[in-house]
Amino acid sequence: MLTALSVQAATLDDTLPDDLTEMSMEALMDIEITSVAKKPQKKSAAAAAIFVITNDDLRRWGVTSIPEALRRVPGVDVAKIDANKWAITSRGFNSRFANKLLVLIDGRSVYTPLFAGVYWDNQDVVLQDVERIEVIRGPGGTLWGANAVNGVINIITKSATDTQGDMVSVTAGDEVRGIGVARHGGKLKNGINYRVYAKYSDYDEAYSSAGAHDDWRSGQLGFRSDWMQTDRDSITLQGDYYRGKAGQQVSIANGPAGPSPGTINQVIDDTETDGGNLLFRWSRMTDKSSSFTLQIYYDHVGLDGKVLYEDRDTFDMEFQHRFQWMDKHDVVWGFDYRFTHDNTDNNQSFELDPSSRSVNLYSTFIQDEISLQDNLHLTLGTKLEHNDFSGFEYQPSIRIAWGMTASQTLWGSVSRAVRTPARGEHDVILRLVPPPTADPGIPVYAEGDDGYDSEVLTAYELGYRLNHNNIWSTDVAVFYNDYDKLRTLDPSVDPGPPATVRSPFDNNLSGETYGLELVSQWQVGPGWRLNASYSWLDMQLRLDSNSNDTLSKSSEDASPSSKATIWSAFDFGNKLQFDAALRYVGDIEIYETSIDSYVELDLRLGWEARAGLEFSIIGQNLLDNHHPEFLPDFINTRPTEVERSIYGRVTWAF
Amino acid sequence: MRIFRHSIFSGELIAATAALLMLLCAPVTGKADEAQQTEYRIKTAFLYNFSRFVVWPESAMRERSEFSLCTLGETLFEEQLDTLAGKTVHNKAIVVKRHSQPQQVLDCQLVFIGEQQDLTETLRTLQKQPVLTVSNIAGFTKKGGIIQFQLIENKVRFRINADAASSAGLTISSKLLSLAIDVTGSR
Repeated sequence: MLTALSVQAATLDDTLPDDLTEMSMEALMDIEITSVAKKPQKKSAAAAAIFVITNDDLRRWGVTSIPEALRRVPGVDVAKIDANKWAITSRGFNSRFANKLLVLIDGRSVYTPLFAGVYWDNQDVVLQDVERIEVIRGPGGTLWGANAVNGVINIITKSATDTQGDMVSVTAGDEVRGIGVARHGGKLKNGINYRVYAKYSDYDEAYSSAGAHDDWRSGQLGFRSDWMQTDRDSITLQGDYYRGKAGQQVSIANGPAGPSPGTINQVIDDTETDGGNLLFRWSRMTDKSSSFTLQIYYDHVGLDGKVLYEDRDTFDMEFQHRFQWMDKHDVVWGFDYRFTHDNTDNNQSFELDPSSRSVNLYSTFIQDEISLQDNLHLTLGTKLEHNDFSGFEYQPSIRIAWGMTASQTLWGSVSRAVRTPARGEHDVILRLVPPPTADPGIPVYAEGDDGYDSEVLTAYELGYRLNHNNIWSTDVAVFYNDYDKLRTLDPSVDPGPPATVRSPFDNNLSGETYGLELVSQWQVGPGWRLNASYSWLDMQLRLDSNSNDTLSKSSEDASPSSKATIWSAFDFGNKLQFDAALRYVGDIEIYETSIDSYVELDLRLGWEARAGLEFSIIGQNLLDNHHPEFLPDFINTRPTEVERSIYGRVTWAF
Repeated sequence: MRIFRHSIFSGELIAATAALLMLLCAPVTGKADEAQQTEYRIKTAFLYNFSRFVVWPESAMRERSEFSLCTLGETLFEEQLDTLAGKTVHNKAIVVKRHSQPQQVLDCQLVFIGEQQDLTETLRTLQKQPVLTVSNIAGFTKKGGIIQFQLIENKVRFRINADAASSAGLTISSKLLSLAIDVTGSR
């Protein structure tokens, strides 16, 4: 979970000017020296499908949130359900409660164990302080553990040493009503660098002919301090606190016990959220080729809605040690302990039994990267973990990377990954809204089941990367994923009285997915860069013969079979920048409702008035007044449509 | 890829393709050397900036017609360093010199000390002399050196020992101090 796989492999460095003495010292300090030799972890990282979003990309793409930035990543599906809810996944199985993608912010997992997904609206990171976002498609279970099944997203913020000085940024427009960020970075007498920040975001409601009521706002405060008192130690302490309110309209079925039996009520639900975290990390270089890292964090998540409710505290402690052994081996091993405790508040639609539960997770891993030759690296590793729901799990992988030439790499891997049961899949009693054709008076429940087991993936990947003199790069990955014991809901009628339909979670689905992802970058000239990405996916799922599930197999249509993006970053001299992106997303179908394919255009014009002062105007989703992207599942919130959005931004660093 | 198909007609791309074919035959080790070159190009630019943002005592500069920027012992600076020759700092032209003995650098304004040097002896020789000492050596500022380069997350950063600077009679600008990852001693 620590940043063991720190990677920069997939992006091209900006070409350096001939005379570096003309650059400011701040700019010099920002140049990254990508050296295969010095940071051995990059070799193993190279044996995987990686895409890196840099701080500069975030600025030039004009995005206001992490999900928007992820739209350009090949192999990753990003779809909006309403203004504050996203369905995001890697390599298929998309849903608001998508559960096969692990997301980490500075080594802290933001994947909720309640339903094994992410509350994206709560991850309101200050984008100006993000160093980079590493997106690793494919299984990462060996290093990151359960739930890194189809991908891992590592959001890495800058060290406080890199955010000295003050910065204010204001964004305002129609859909983005306002985002304000203020940050101060300084240095204490004893050498500790720090930053403190505050961020407030306010988003307008999206489009629905029936009224959206999904506007939302969020406020966040935080700090990070970094201390490098000695050459070999670096210590980080950071924390955040946020509060938010996210609107929606939700349908609730009233059963015999409800206030008006046999009806479905649409209610306005302003879900309130609050949360915070505190993280400590200590890294020490014990000698030139060995180091260890200790990381401890506490995280709180609070969510109070008319259906969904969660109040959770998590404590996590991880240790990782890396060392070289007999010249050819680069070994990293570690262990992790996580304790999480929740309280829930039952309501007529959503109940957890027991309503409060503590869960322990123990894990250990070892990975050895063997240099068979200078340009041939074999990586073997496995994770072993124990969780309270499915017991012991193992997740081995074998990866090989061959540097065919200085500019080309061919890699392949075979790995096993598991998606361990979520708390909800064992303990929830969720009242579903029946389809319009069914009698609303008969309650339908999705129910947790203690026998619900882990979903299992065996993945086969092959990739090729070319980086020609930083003029162009191409990265191709193909995969074949073989899944077993995927989640199903098998309904059975309980004649009662009163009659009810109960659907316990089970593991009666299996299948294969195939895919291809391609991303390419071309530095056309000194001030013009073009990128293109394309993804293709095919999913073939099969229900076991004993299953009468009618819903789960349909997830094979919930991801587009193809999507493509082309984007351009053009500089008019030093001061003016013009950015454009054209995105295509293929059609999908969710529970027999089709959503058409769409093409959208995003534009940005930026003007650097003087060093540190930047004005920009951004247009997103410019080709349509509004278009739908996705639909909710499990909890019937009203889906809304993404609208055209225009906003301006001023950022001043001083 | 439409981009590529379109661009086949540009001469630039034909040249790029030719370069690519050459690169295919290049050995794998080329990459690390390239990274090291970049590192030392950046460090060269930093040495130039250090010269600009440090003030030497009037007595040490008055009689001089040139600014001597020196290396001591084996270093990984190759010809990059020579690109500084002829630039001016504090109204004096930079001259780049490579020395092997501590005694020789007493006449330098800035010296980059190579890793093989006997640090204790070198620093004793330079004690209280108006010479800005710079090195990659771990613990350099702790042992009395003035500026120490350190790679952090593949970026070139530096530490400053402000006490060592003031006992050498050097004044370090607040800009330089503010960019250091760590400043030891009084400001």
